[in-house]
Amino acid sequence: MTTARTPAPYWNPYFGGAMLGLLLFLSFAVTSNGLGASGALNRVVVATEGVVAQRHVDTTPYLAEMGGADRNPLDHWMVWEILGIILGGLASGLIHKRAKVETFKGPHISVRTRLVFALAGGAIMGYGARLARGCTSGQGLSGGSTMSLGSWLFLFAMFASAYFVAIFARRLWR
Amino acid sequence: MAPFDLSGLGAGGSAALFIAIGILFGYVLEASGFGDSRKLAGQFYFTDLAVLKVMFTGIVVAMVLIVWTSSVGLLNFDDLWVNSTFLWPGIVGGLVMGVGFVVGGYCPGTSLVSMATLKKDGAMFVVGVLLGIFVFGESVELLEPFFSSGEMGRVTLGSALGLSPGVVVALVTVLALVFFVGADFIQKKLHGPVAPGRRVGRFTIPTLAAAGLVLAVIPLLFVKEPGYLDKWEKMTDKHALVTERQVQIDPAELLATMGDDALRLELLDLRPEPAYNRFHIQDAQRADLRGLEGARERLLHLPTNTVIVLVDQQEERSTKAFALLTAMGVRNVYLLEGGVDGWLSVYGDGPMRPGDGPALGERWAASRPNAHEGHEREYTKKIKLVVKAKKSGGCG
Repeated sequence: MTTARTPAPYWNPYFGGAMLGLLLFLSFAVTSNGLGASGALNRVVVATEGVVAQRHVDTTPYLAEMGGADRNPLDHWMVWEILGIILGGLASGLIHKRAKVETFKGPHISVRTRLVFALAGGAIMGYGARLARGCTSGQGLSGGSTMSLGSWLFLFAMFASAYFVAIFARRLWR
Repeated sequence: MAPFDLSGLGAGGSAALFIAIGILFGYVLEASGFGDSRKLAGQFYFTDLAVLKVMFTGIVVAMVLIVWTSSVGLLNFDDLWVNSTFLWPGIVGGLVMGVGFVVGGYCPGTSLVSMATLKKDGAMFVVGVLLGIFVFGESVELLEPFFSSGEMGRVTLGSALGLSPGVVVALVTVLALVFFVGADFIQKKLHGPVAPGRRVGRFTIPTLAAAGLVLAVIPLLFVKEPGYLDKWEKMTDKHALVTERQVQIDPAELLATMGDDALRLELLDLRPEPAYNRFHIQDAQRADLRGLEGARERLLHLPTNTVIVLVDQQEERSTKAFALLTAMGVRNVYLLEGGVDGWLSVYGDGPMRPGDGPALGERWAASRPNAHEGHEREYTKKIKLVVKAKKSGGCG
């Protein structure tokens, strides 16, 4: 590549938001479902557990609902969707010259610290997303735009908690 | 009317459709900066509120489009997946996720995009999410009954607050606009000037967009929710079911269904009470045409092997009820061909005239004729049990 690898600027947030809203609406209009992410990751976990211990999956109701007996946990629209999310993210990363190996972190912590916190934060997020029956996409965007009472309470709870915790986690990012 | 029935697409077609939706989603997320944990975390320190602006704008735009298209009858809101409300686990889950958001810098969807653009912290976060989900799946039984507490089903802000969808959209839009202005104000106070939007003439593009949004929302305030019969008028694809007599079942098919252990029969008799008391088919429940709307929730949640059969003296009320129930989204609805008159002309001793005989309810021989005693009768089988795949929402 001969061009300089200067990343392109991000979209204007209102433009990005309008595109996101349009896509969310089209998804509902065509498929009756919104967008999601953590549900599909749940299915990936159940599929992995099935490879290692199918009997355990069969006998745990929560897991069996997705992958018990002859059910294939990966046979679900959301699994295709997250495959698309990865492809689309990569496409945008390549087009905007942002696809390169690096670690995003605050200026005052080491790469190792950042990776440990990313892992821990991911685990907390994954656990919370299943408890809430959806993540920022599935509860926040999809439930928010269909005006679900629970999704709006969820959104307020998540952001209130994040803004509160951020006070004590300043060193991670600032 | 949207949303569409996708069963005709086949497995490959629907996979392609969802991959395409995912690609667009991933592209929009990355292009808006959601693949960068510093940008995501920036919202919590008021250094960069783009993420909140994107999310809030997305929700408002989708909401306005959904309510607009529903109110002009292009979209059937009842068919959309609306996240069920589980009050307490939803709130506590949200509180837990807020911690993960700050500590890890992503949420599940954005970490996938970050990983796709080769960011190590994004990939680590994805591994963490998988771990957290694993731990949850293994320990969920310890969380009962909390995990199922506060279950309220499909509740929207409108139904909870007693407001029309148009008013809810207007309130959320106002909230969003106040938030956008406030966000820039706080960011300016704490960290200096915010880059202004591009101008067209005297106004910036965001200002013009906001004005457009407000103009789009105002008419929604005056929209009355269409009644179910109005909805039925617009469901032209279903009208042939009635006019081509695909849902009017022969008395013999009803009798066969009454004896079919694999099906659960919900027999609704729509005639006035005196006629019902005088005679009705065994196990028929009396139902009032006007009361059907109130029974919507119950009828939508009947066991999946339930077949609903509507009965009138002839077919007038049952045809109307069929239209109502279909518009409500109730499935497996049929009506008795010829009504009670038709039934009695086959299994009774001629149509029962008003004033005929005592009010014996279902204690007539004709209420439950014996199918094995010379009542074999040729008919076209019309009942086809449709089991709608249980819809799972965004993250279900």
